[in-house]
Amino acid sequence: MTNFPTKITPNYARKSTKKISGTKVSKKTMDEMVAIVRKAKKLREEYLSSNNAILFN
Amino acid sequence: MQYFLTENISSNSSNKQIFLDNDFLSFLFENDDVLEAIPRIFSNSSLVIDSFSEFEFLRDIFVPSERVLREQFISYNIFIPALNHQEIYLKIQANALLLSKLYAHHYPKCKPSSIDLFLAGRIMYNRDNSYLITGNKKYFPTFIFDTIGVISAEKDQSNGMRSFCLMKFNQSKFDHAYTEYLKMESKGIEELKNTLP
Repeated sequence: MTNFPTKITPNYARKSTKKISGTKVSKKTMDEMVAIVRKAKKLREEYLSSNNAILFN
Repeated sequence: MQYFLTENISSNSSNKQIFLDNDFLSFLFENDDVLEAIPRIFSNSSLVIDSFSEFEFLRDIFVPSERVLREQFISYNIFIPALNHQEIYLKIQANALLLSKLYAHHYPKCKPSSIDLFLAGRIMYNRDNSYLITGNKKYFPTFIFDTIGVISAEKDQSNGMRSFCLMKFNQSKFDHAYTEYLKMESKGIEELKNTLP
């Protein structure tokens, strides 16, 4: 006789009592992250305007 | 660039883990105005990156040196890596497969990627304290998930507007869909049994 697979049951984590710390970030950290974002934007613009992008495409 | 928030999005997400889908993480990486507002919007909740979101964020980067900047970006402690070990992974995988069956049954047009299903499975697993921010709301359908907030922001260099939804797993909606699915499945199995030798 054909065996049918058992049904999948939902899985849940136990309820956590751990307090969420919140998103805290220093001005120095945020300045560094913003600098990374701006650097990446500049890199993309430079790359797209270069011959590499034309060749790549 | 301007951004807009639905009322009470900060208080609604208070004391929760907010998982970030790759599209929102990438939007933060490209829009420093929204990035700078994040600690204020989510001052009482934690921003969590699942390993699947990290994988999507780092893959297929067009500009080679950008990958290094992306790795630096997500290493800052504003983001918390999600717990990821074998036992949890297997449970999330089972949830993802189950959700894919419910989607196929209730909402056949919905074709989420495997990573979207795993993220949905993660939010389902951590149902008590986890929400998700995604720009792909259609892959977290309303027959299982609730939208509890929206962040909209103008896009750089275009006149477009991008919206991201804060999604919550709804237990009673899931239970209803799951019960319906089990009825259909048992009927299908009975029919199959009658046709097999």
